[in-house]
Amino acid sequence: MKKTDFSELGPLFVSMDDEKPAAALTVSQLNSQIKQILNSAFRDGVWVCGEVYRYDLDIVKAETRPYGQVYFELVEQDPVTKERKAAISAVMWGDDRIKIYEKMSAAVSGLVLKDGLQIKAKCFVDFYPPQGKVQLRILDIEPEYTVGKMAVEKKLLLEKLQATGLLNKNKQIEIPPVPLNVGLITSVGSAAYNDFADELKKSGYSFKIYVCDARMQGPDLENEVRQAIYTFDKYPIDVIAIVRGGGSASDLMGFDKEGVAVAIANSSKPVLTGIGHQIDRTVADEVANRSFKTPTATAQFIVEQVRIFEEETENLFTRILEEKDIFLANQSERLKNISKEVKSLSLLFTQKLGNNIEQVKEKIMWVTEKLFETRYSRLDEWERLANSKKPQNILKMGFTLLYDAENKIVKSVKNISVGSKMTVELRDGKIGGTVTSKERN
Amino acid sequence: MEEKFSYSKTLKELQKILEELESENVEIDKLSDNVKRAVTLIKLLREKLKKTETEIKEIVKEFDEKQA
Repeated sequence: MKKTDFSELGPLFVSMDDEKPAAALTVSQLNSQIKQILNSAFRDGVWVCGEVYRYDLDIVKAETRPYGQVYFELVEQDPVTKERKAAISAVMWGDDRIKIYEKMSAAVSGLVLKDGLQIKAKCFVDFYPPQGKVQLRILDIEPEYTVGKMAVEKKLLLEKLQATGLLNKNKQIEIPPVPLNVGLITSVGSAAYNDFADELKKSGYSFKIYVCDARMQGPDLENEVRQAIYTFDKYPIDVIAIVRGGGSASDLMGFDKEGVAVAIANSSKPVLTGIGHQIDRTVADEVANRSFKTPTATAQFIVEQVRIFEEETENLFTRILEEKDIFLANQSERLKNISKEVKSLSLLFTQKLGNNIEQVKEKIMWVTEKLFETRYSRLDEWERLANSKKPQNILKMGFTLLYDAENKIVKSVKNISVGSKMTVELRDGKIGGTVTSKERN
Repeated sequence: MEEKFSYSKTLKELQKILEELESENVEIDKLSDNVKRAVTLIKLLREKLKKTETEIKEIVKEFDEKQA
């Protein structure tokens, strides 16, 4: 390519003040000159920052093209309004692409060019005369820029979510104890889908899986996943699982999008992620109720919840049975003790009562005996007294009884006179006589 | 007769007789009769006492049997 000398181009710039009729160029002459100017102006190439756009659609055709070239665009959006500020066509030749891909995956394993990726590219600014179109030829890129951009974006989004309280919002939802109704968001028919569903089936529990098909990569991911989450909010679902198989870091970009993060945060159901990545956690993982490395691990966690509940219920039931036995044993022991106590107390009582009765009885006997003893002895005494008074007994002792003529007992000399008849009674008979003298003592 | 036997009445009568017997002016004529009456009364009282004692013993025995 010939070097362009701007001084030679001088007459071609038409001055509006010029009175002379202008010399006209053909379109191809013009385009050729534009091409020369552009080429010389960006002779050493230029570094351009922009977002990869319409790459994913075209890359599939690249292999069929003679130089393996891929056509796409670099765009610039307003960071706040997301409105497009500028766009430019870009082409990447097959050789350059291989070199660039190697460089990218050397920087971050799995990092590939994708729509939405922010890149810093060294470009050659070219002009394609047949279409009058400016086109960048991508020669090289600086992967560190892309990685940094991704990290910064992610960091900013996480900060924003933290500030608005969305980061931990879904984590505060408690996972129901028996999450049998599972809302699954994934690419239906994928390995991730099968792994997840198989794990639930294998458990033997009667899981009910509601599936929402969504693209798990590419630019449509954000919208489809968000829609799926909103849809599930209306269903009687216990837990939502977003799962996909392992993929490259740039494949996961959709899960770093604000739309997905906000939808997860605002979901009324606990959201689990099993996005299948090893290196880094996506924003979706950060916002989710819980995140797992694989779809299988996600399903295992859900199964585990049910299993724990079942086990706890079993244990509770066993404990209730045990408690019941212990309670009954305690109560019957208490009853036994009470009845024992009642028995011993009443025995003590009757014994005491018996003792009292015995004492009373003995007292009665004793008193009675004394009473009778006294009576008997008194009677004995009286009997002796009475007997001692018997006249016969007096006579036995040698005393005599003196009777007068009228047969009255004479007790004093005054009561009998000398010469009167008298009778003397002795122990064994009577003697008659007359009083011959009397003398007073 | 037996029904109407009163220990206390009989006792009073006996005591009266005994008082008479012990007094100075005991009627010798009545002496024999009085002594005889006194001895009879003592006999009756003793019988009554014996009977009562037996009865009481019987009651206590019955009570003992019931307790056992």
